Order: sequence, then structure tokens, then C-alpha cells
Amino acid sequence: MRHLRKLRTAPTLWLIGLCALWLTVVVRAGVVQPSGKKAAMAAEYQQAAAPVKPAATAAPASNATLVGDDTCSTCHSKQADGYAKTPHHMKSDTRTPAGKQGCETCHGAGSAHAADPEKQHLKKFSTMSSDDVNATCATCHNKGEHVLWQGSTHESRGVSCISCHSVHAPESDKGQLKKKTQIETCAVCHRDKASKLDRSGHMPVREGKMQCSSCHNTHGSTGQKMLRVGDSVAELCTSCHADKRGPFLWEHAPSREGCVTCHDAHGSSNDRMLVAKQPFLCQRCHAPSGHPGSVYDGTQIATSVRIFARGCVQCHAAIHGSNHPAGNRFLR
Amino acid sequence: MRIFKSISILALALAPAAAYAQSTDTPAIYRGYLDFGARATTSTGEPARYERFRDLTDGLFAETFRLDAEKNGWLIKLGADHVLASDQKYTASFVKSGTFKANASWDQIPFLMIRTAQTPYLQPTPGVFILDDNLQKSWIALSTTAPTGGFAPRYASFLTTVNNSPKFELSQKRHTAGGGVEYLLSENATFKINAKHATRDGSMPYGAYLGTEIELAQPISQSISDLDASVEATHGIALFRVGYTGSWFTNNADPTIFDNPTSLTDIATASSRGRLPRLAQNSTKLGVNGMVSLKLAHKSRLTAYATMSTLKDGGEAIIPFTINSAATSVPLFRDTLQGKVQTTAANITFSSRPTKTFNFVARYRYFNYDNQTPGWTNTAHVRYDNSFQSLATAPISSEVYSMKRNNLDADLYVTPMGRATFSVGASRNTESRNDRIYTGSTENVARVKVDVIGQSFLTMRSVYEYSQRRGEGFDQTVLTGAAEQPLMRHFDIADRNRSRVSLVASLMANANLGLNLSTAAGKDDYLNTTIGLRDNNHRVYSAGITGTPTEQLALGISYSYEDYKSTQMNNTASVTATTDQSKYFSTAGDDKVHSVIATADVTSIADKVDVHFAYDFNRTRATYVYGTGDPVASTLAVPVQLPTIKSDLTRGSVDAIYHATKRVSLGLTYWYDKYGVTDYTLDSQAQDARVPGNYMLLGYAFEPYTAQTLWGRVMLRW
Repeated sequence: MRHLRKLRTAPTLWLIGLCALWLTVVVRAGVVQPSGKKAAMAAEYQQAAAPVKPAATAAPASNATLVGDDTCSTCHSKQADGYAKTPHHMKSDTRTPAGKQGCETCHGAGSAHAADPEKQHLKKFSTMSSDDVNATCATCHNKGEHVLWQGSTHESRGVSCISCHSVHAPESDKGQLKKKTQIETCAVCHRDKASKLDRSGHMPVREGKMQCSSCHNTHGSTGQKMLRVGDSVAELCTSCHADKRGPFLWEHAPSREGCVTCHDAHGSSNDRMLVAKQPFLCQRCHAPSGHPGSVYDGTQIATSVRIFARGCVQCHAAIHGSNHPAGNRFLR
Repeated sequence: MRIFKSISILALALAPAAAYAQSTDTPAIYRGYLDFGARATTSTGEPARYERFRDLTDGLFAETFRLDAEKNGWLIKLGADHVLASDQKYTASFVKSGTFKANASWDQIPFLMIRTAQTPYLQPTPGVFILDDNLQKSWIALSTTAPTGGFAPRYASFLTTVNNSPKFELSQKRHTAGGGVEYLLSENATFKINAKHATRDGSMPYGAYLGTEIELAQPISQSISDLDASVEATHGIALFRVGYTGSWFTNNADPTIFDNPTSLTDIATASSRGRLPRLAQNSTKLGVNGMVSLKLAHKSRLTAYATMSTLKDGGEAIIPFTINSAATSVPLFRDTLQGKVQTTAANITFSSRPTKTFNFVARYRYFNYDNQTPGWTNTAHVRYDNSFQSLATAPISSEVYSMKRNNLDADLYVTPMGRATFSVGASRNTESRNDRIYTGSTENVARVKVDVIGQSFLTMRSVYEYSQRRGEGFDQTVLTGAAEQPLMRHFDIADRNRSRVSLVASLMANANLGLNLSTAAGKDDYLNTTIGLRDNNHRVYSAGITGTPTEQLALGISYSYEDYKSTQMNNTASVTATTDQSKYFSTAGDDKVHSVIATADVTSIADKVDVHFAYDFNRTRATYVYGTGDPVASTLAVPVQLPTIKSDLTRGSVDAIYHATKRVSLGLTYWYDKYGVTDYTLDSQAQDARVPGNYMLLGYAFEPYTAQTLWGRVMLRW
């Protein structure tokens, strides 16, 4: 651990070093473009938004030609049936695979494969790198909330679109997920968070009234922790719990710094999803004179209201902030 | 009500058929599903928690209705869940693919806290809590007639009166109506608008101190309306977005007024009534935002986002210091809050994956919470509506928190060969603020990651992170001004060293057997903290197996264990005796949670019969163990340690479905829920064991229950 402590001496140097390393890499990779390439880049982007040409779908066999969906479904009827139940099959929308070259929009031109299925393979997403999978999907899904996918935590860690979504056999009601619910999907990696939903204090997620995506945008966000709304934790929480957003005459600092200082949004066995039981949670920051930090031990649990029942907030009820002129202690 | 439900269910069942019969023009595809039947619930204990966010009332139910229609290029989806129940939800979406999308929803979320609350207070109008005058007189008399001169008889009467009061339900409900439209202005431009209106009504336990510690069923009547609209367009390599957001919060509740149980008339030192301000004032938050995202060469993207918003209160009057007509009048510092907060935020992200070997991500975030609410100073006040207190020598001023955050992250990913990716990254987070013990802090973070992905048999992600946070501009007066311990350090901004490691791995032995493993551990050391939270650490382990040993059987089981430990130090001495460790005491917290989730899907267990089994178990044990800071020198009595807090939640279900035909299935579903709790402050035994005191609480408690629900279901598909 000691060697890591040295990091504090020059964190900015680390960042500069990383930037320099990246620049070295991209220069060596020939990324730095002459100015005349700008038009080419624009063309590349527009090509992505335009209907896909067979050549752009990176068919493995370069001389392959389109064969059409009927040919594909001869062997892959199960996949075709699943695809037909999703928005991808809407031919009237020229942006969909069906509005372009059907199956071959994503899998590449299939004539060679149709002629020799054993030796000539199409793009098979389950064996492709996450980068290649994502690039294929992002050909179309590159707007709206997908704009922030590249560079997001999930994208950077090698999560691909098909880690969560299924084009041919979705199980969920919405979003074409591989699992029936978002919890099941997210719990594949975030088991610790899913387990917290089973605790006595929880948001109504397991009852189906909220989902992981109620708070998080798994495709990337401008805020921290991939939060869907706001630019801080407090802004996200108060987008529903607006009575806590203030401003108040008397502010309680943790309410502004971040709700998670006191609450665990994923679930807790404590009342109100608090990260620790009262009064111990409050005693982490408060031991004032006149109301000093007391040992609320076994002799007091039946007698002291300061530990009994809801503890401190039985008196300090306006703990998120007060607009009473004498509310500086949040008693009003 | 049941007849109404029956008619509604019948109407829903017939609706698709009617719709089908009316389709005469272009061929239409209908895909529908209806799940309805009858349900019965039995329970022992207090099952409010069982139905906390849902309605499991006996009788007929329509659990799920779905209708997907596709016609003339339109996709129409209609949905209904828990029809006519208190947790009902309705959704509709209309999509003209490539042109237009619209959606609407209506959702009700109940929040049932407890059905056995008790209080002697009557509420003739919402927010006005009165006591029977004779009751008050009897309590007042008890203060003078007590044979020992103490208040024990009065306190005993408080408790007896509460326990003899009628029981009532503490609950809330949240109704949310929302809708949105997305219209493609052209192939490269999209307009979106979303609106939402949510109401929250009901009551919750709320403290109302007036010499006596009173808990009231505080009425809640609030609504919030949100609107956001944006236009997004692409041009060349660029994507642009501009947006507007508006949020209007309205509190319909009036200030709460409540009787003082021990005073019938106002006198200078005791009010006959107390008054609480509304839980929150009306407020409006309006903002604009914009984003530009540039797609650069060789899989690089630069995205810049910025937003500004203003939050203002509704301009309503601040209530007077007291409702006590006999108390010395204290003028308000000003009549209204004049609350205003200006928020500015920005995010610049650069991501580049020039080759398959290298990936670089850098992100800068800026957040400025500028609270422009004018300060407030009290040179005198009335405490708890009771008595005047001069503060001339020590005025109390409000703390108008503002903060500014800057975060810079950079990560370099290298995939030298195969599917293994190695990453190094660093972050620098700075924050400045006012009216806290540190006026600023800086956190430096270093991390390494190793990910193995894309292998058919192994996926593994791991990260180790180490960070150091240091406070700047320590201001001792923030503590002394609040009469806090001078050696207290608030853990959310205190000096801290943090190390965390986590690993998630998935192994696919073959197509029919998968293993998931994950572990995480972390430790926070709060340096320079004498009083307050000094350290905490956690360990998490989980393992899961999924398998399909036969085509008819799918099994899954996972186990998780989490252990969270913390140590905090406190001092029973006055703030002047900070170095006297004889009055120090520590509290060691330890939460251990075991969790098991198991499922089994058995298809064709008998002819046309599928069965699904599910079992969830969550076991929590929490301890808070007292210790003395210096056992040798301690002058504190040896603490009587608190009992262990136990919380066990067991849930099991069996869902059997008989597929009578391709379109009709019959189902029998059984749910079993058992909640056991032992909590020395909040369980029902603790409630019963409480000693009479100068308080009147509602009896809000963690109540155990055992509940079972049986569902007979008919499922139709068309």
C-alpha cells in the first residue's frame, strides 16, 4: 500500500502522463488526420445514419450478395420468428433492419453462407468482440440516450449490447432484454445491489413499481454513477422527493451534499433505508454540548426516547431542512 | 366494488375480440394477453409490510393485460396491471415507426406503513390535531396530585391513553400521470416532449416537540409537475441537442397545529398549542441544457454538455415564531424565504478507441450549486412555541450552503492480446463549500482494472481503487459555534484513505451450466478523526449457479454475504473537555447479511403443465457494541450491551400453469411470506416493554408477519 500513497504527490502528473501516452498511441496508430480528412469523417458519420449498403455491413465474404430474408428463415426460422415480434421488423421505417436489407443488414450479405453454410460464416454476434458488436448496433442506435454510450462505464468495461439485450429472443416486456426483468438483467453483475432489494427497507423495485432504469441510464449519463436525472445524487433523488429539494431557511448539509450520506437507495434493514440505525447514524457527526453523545445502552432502550422507536428524528423531525424561523435545530 | 371489478374484467376480456371484429381495412396482427382470476390472502401478525407497495386484497383481480397491435405501420401497445386495485397501472404507446412516438401512463403506488398506529389526538380538519379538554385537564391535574411530586402518574396516563386509542392506518399513495411525444422532424432531427404530474397524499409519523415528545400522523398533500422538451439534430459529424426542463412543486398542506397535552391556556412559558411549518414550501425549478457530440475519426467521440437551472421558492410568508399568544413577540428577520439556487453543471467526455489494442476515456465534470438565498439571523427566538429566549449575545445565523465540484477522470485501456484488457486510471475530485468544517477538499484516485471478456467460457471484470481525500481550510468555529466537539470530523468530507477491490466472474462450463462469482472488499480510514466515524469496511461475496440439466428443467441459485463494519468514537463530556479520554466511548457497528435466491422452472412436469418455483431468503444480523475509549482511565459505567438486531425475510412461491389450449391457460399461484424481526427499539415487543415517559408516540413499529396468498388464474392469449 505504501507505494500507492506516493500517488498523492503528483496526481496531476499521472493524468498528464496518461494523456501523453494516449497521444503517443493514437499518433502511432495514424489517427492524427490531415485537415482534408474532415470531409471524409463527415461522410463516415452520415453513412452511419443512412440506409446501410451491403458493403457497409462487413460481410465476411467480400463477393457475397444479398439473398433476402426468406432464404435466411429457411434455416433460421426460430430467429426470424423472434425478430418478427420486435420493432426491428417494421419495414415502413427505413431505419430498421427490415427497412434496409433485413437479416443481412446486421449479419452481412448471405449468398456465400447460403451456398456453403459449413465453411462460409456470417457475422455471429456471440463470438464477436464487444467492440464489434457495439459498433454494429451503434450504426443505428447512436442518438437519444445512446449518445453517451461510448466512453460510458459499461462500454469501457467491455459490456456489449448483447450482454443485456436480445434481438431474436427477448424475454422482457420492454427493452428487448435477455431476462424477464431489469433486476434479473442487472443482477448478473450487480448481485450485491439486487440483494439489497430484499431487505425490509427498500424502494418498490421488487414490487414492479420502479426499475433500475428509474434512476440509472445504463447507456451512459452526464452525471455520476450513470444517474439518469440531475447532475448530483441529491438532484436525482429530489426529482421525485421534491419536498426535500429546498432551498430551506435552515439547511442540513448532508441533504445538499448527497442523500446517500444517510440513506442507502438500494435497500437497508434500517428504518427509512438509513445506512445505520439511529441514534448511531446521527452520532457520527453530532455530539453537541447540552445534548452530548450519550451511551444509549441496554439500560435505556425502554426509557430513552432518544434511542427508542425512531430515535433522533422523533424530535428533530425537519431533518432535511426547516423553514420555521426557530428551526435551526430542525425541531420545527 | 366486486361487481364493478367483475364487469371491468369482463369488458377487458371482451375488448380485444371486439377490436378484432372491427378490423376491416388492412390486415392487422393482434397480440394480446390477459391474466385474471380470484385471489385470497391470509395472514398473522401485522402484514402492512407485506402489502407495503402493493394491493393483495381478496376477491377478483385482473393482474396483467397486454394488447399489441400493428396496423398500417402503427405499433400500438396497451397495458394494464392490477386493474382497479390501489396499485393499478395503465400504459399506452403509439408508434408510427420512423415518424412518431407517443406514450401515456397512469401509475398508483401505495405506501402502507402500519395499520396499528394509535394516538389520542383527533383531527377535525387536516393538520389540526386536538385533544379532548377533559383529557388535558386530567393530565394537568396529575402533575400536581402526584403523591411523590413527580410526573410518573401523568406519563403512565399518556401511555395508557395512547394504548387505548383506536387504531388507524398510516399510509401514503403516490399517483403519477405521464406522457410524452417524440416526433422525427426530419431524418436528422427529433423533437421530444415529456410531461409528468405526480401527487402524494396520506400521512406519516412526524415529531412535534412541545416539552412533551409528540408524534403526529402528519398530513401529506403534495404534487409535482415536470416538463422537459428537447430538440436533437445531427449534421455531419456533429449531434446537437438543446433542451428545457421545468419542475413545479406544490404543497397543499397547511401548517400543522397541535394541542399541548399539559397546557390548556397560553402562558409566557408554555403554549397551549404548537405549530409546525409546512413540510416544504412551493418551489419552481427551471433550466436549459445543451449538448454537442462530435464523432471523430477512428472511433473517437467528444461530447460536451452544459446545463443551467434556477430553483426558487413560491414566495409564501414565513410563519411567526410562535402560536403562543402569551409569549413575547419576536419579529421575523424578513417575511419570506426569498430562496433561490442557481445550478450550473457541465460534462466533457472524450473517448477514443483508435485501435483494438487501446482505448482512452477522459471525462471532466463541473457542478456548481450556488445558493443565493439571503442569510437569516435570529437575535431572539421562541423555543418550541413555548418560551422567549434572547440570543443577543450569541445570535444564530443560517448556513446558506453552496458548493462547487470539479471532477477529472482518465482511464487508459490496453488489450495487448486475446480478450484480456488491462487498465490504469486516475481521478482528481475537488470541492469547495461554505459553512462546513472544511471549506474545500481534494481527492486523488488511482485505479487498475483487469477485464477478460468475450470468451465463451469466461468473463471476468476486476478493479482495484485507492484514493486519498484531504480537507482544506479547516474552520474550527463551525464546530464551536454549534457547540459541537472540537475534535469532531464529519465523515462525508473528512480526511479519508479509501481502498476498494471488486471482482465479478462468469464461467460457462458448457451451454447448460453457468457459474457466477463476485466479491468486493473495501476500507475507509478517516484520518485525523478523533470524534465521529473513524473507519468502516465491507466485504461482499456472492456465488450463483444456473443450469439446464434437461430441456424441461432450468435451475438457478445464488448466495450472497455482506459484512459491513464501522467504528465511531464519541464523548459524553462537554466540549471543553476534549482531551479527557475518560469520557470517550466507541460504538462498533456490524451488519451481516445473508441472502439466498433460488428458482426452478420445470416445463411439462405433467401433461401441459409447467411449474415455477422461487425462494428468496434474507437474513440480517446487526450489532452495535459499546466500548470505552480508554478502559483504564474511563470514568463511564460499563455499558450494558445492546441486543442483536435480527431481521429475517423469507419469500417462497409456486406457480403452476396448465396450458389447456394454445390460447388458454389455467394457473394456480401460491405465495408465502414470512418476516421476523427482533429490534430493541422498533419491534412490537419493544413497544410493549416501553416505560412510561414524557412522550406520546404513534406506535410505528417493525411488526412480524406471516402471510400467504393463493391465486387462481386464467390466462388468455390471442
